[in-house]
Amino acid sequence: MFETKRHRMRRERYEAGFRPEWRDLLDAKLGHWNLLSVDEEERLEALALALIADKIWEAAHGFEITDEMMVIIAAQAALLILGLPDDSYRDVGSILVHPTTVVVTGPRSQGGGLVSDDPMAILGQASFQGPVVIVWDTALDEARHPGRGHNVVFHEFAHKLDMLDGTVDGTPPLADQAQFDRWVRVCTEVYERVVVGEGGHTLRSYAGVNPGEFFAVATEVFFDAPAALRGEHLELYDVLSDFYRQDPARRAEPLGR
Amino acid sequence: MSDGASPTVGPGILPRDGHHLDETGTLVNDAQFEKVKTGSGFIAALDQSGGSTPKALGLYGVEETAYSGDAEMFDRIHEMRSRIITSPSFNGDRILGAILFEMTMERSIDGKGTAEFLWDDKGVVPFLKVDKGLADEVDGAQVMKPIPDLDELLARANGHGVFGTKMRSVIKLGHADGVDAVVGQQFEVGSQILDAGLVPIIEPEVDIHSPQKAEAEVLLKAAILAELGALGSDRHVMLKLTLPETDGFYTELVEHPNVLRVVALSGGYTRDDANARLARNHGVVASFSRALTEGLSAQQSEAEFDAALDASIGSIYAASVT
Repeated sequence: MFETKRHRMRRERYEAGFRPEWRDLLDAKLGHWNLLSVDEEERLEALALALIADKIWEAAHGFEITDEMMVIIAAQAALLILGLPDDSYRDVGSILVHPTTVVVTGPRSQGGGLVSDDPMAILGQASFQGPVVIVWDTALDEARHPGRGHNVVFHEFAHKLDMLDGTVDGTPPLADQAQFDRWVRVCTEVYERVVVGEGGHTLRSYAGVNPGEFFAVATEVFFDAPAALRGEHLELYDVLSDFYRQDPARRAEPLGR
Repeated sequence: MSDGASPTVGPGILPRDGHHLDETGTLVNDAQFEKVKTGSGFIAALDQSGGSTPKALGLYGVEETAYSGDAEMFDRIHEMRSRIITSPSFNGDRILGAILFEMTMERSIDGKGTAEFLWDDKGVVPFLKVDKGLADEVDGAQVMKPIPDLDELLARANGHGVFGTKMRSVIKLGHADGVDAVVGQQFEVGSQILDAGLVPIIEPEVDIHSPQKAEAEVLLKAAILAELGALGSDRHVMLKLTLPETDGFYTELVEHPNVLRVVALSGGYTRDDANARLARNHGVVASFSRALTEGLSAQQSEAEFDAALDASIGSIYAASVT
C-alpha cells in the first residue's frame, strides 16, 4: 500500500545495487569501461544505477527493454558526467529505445533558417523536457567499437546537458564568466570553420548544422576519439575538458585513440 | 555560442549518416547501393546451408568423420568462411558483396558480427540467403519451399546492416508453366523483401544439364521482363542467372532501369569454364560459390591458402570486369 509499482521498482533497483552481471556486461560490451580507473568505475556504476532506477525506460514497437540495454546505454550516458554534479540529467524523464533506425516526419530546423518536413532516418533524438530516443543496434555497436568518433548515446545526452539552461545553443551551464567567455570564443571559431567546410577531419559536417549539434558532435569525438580531437583542435579539446572535468585523451593514451 | 544563429528548444537530432530514404520511405545505404550498382568486382557466395555444407567441407578437405553432428559441422564451415573472409586477399577492392547463410550472419568474426565485419572492415556489401530450399519438381521446375518467419528474419538482417537477400529456385525444362511459377514466386517474395528495405537477389537458376536450356532461357527472360515492367520506378532488384547459351542474351536485363545488377552463378561449371562464359557476357558479374573455393584446403598453410584464394579471386574478378 501507498507505494506505486514504479516507486517499488525504483526502490528495489537501488536496493539490489549495481549487479555483478551488469559489470560483466560492461567488461564484454563497453570498450570505454576498460580504460577507467577503479574510482571512475565505482562512480560510473553509481551514476548508471541512478539512471536505471530513476528514469523511465520504454521500448518502441513491441520491443522489450532488457537489462543489457539499460546498462549499456546508462553507462555511456554516465561516462559524460563522471566529473559533473550527480543530478546533471535532471531534465531526462524517460529513455525510449528503438530496435533500429527510426524514420521521423514533421517540420524541423535544418539550420540557416531552413525548415524541412522530408522524412529523415535518425539514430537518436533528445527533446527539451522530453524523452531521449536511442536506436539500440547502433548504441551497442558503438559501445563495442569505440575510437571512430561516433556515439549516439554521447550525442543525445550531450543535448540534454545543453538543454539544462532552457535552450539548445551549444553552451551548457558553465562555472563562471571566464569559462563562458573562453567557451564562446573557442567554440564559435571552430564552428564557423566547420560551417564553411574547413573544420578538419575529426568533426564531421553535421557539427555545422547549428551550435547545438556542434556541441553534441564535439562531445562524441571528445569521448570517443579524444586523441584525434586534441591533435586537431587543441583549444576545443581544452574547453571541453574544463567543462566535463575529464581528460579522456590521457585515459586512452595506451590505445592511441 | 555567439554565431548569429538563434538558440532553440527544438529537439537535437542525430541523423543516420550515409543513408537516404527513397520515394517509398525505405532506408537505403548510399555507399552500399552505389558500390553494388557501379563497382567493379563480383559477389562471393558463402551461403552453403545444411544440405550443401558437407559437400563444401569435403571439397575443402574436411571429411564427414572430422565432425560430429550439425553443430560441429557448422563450426567447421564457419571456420572455413572466417578464414576466407579474413584473408588479406578478400576485400572490397575486387569483391562487391558476399552472400551469407543465416547462421553465418548470427556468428562473429574478430568479435564483430559477420555482416558488420564484412562492410566495416572489408568494404564488402553483405547479403543474406533467405530461402529454405526447393519444393518438389512440377512442370519441369522447382519453386521455393515456403519461408515462414521471413519478416522476422529480414528484421534481424536489417539489424546487422545487411543490404540484400538471395533466394534460389531451379528451372529444369523449357516449360512455360514451370518458368512462370518460379518467376512469379520469386517476385512475390521479392516484393516482401523490398517492403522490408532490402534488395532481393532473384535467382531462378536454369540447370546447366537441362536438355532444353536455351528454350528455358527464352521463357525465363520474357517472364522476368514482364515482372520488371510491373515494378515501381524506385524498386530495384538484382538478378542471379545461369550463364546463358547465347552470349549477351541477358543484356536487356543488364540495362533495365529496375535492375541494380545482374550476377551469374557458376552452376556446376568449372571455374575456368564459368570464367570463360562470364567474360563473353558483358555487364554480368560473377556470384560464384564452388568456383571461388576451388583449390582451397584446410590442410594448406596460411601462405598457401592466401595465395590460392588470391589467384581464385583474381581470375573471377578478371572475368567479371569485361
